[in-house]
Amino acid sequence: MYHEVARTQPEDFLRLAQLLRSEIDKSQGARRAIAHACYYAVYHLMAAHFQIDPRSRAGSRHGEIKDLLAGFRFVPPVPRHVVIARREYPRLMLLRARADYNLEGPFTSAQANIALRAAEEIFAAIPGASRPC
Amino acid sequence: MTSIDSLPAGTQSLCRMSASQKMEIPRLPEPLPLDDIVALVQEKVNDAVLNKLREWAAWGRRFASESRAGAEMIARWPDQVGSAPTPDAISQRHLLASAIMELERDFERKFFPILWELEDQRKTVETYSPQIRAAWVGFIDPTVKAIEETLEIIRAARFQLQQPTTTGGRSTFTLTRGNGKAGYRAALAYKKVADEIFDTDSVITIEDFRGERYFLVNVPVADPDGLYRDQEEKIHYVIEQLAPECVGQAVLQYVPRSGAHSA
Repeated sequence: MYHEVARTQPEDFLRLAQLLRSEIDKSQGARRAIAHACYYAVYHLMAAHFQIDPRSRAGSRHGEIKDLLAGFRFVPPVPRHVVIARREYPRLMLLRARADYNLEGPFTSAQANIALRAAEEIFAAIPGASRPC
Repeated sequence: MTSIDSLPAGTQSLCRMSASQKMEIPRLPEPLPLDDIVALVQEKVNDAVLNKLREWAAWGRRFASESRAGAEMIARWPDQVGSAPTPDAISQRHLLASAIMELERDFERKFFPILWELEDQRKTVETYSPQIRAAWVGFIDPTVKAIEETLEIIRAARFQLQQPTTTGGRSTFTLTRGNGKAGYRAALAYKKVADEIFDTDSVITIEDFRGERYFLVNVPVADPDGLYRDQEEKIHYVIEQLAPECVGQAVLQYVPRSGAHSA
């Protein structure tokens, strides 16, 4: 049976991370999933901001989004959520990479909390956007 | 656990030496005296100034040759350990790769500031007369080339050692003047501001992960699990005002302050 499904939005990734918040201190998997979801929430948000199609490899790689943000200048003024994303993107990227690939070392609650807090701040700063709960 | 003793004889002594002993780190020549600089700006060039610049150029060429020879010695290290997928060979490669990484970091710490200095000099000499500019560039070009090539050779040697055990990696990270300099400079800027705000002495480390290079500023705090929102807001704000090109080029992370312990 097929259901009509609404287009997935970047904040859907953040909502998933928020759903897992209660598991942060209990589950290593939840912590890693939070860092993963938070990063992709911000990745898709920024891809949309820069009008980059994530389905196309050209220009949509993680490092390229990071470089686009790093190369941003503040004239003309940029939206607040992009200012915060620019600050936080490399950290989210590194946390996501560690969460997804470095299974040797522990992924701590603090790391998951940092990722969640950063993504929440970015989304909360979107003008007129309803804040994901 | 594999020890240095298990490494081939040729590499043992290299691993035991400190990074700075492994390669002679040359010093930049002393800057020109102020009077000479004034004379240059006024284009009142005398033979002594030109001779000085020629000496620098000769130094630059010597430096290029010596540092390349040092790097090529390191490039031969991977051939001295086995490439078989046995636990011993893998451990040996890890050990040697760690030694090379240490040397690489040491080299970057010492030579990135010199690269920046040379970049600044290159801009300055654009305003000088063609004769002086040519003499000066004769010093800058071989020195910059030597630093960049040496780093690339060292990195390639390390990557060669890590390659057999790397799975799923992307293409090799290539250190360029742009990404290396910008990242390290940003990390220094973040460190400076973070040290002021946290009243501490943070440490810069570099982490290569899946083809991306991250410049980390490790800030010692009593509670490394804490969220330091207010302090981070201040740090980012200051960087945005003073060095906007550095924003988003370094990552703050928290480590236990010595003497403190987290729960």
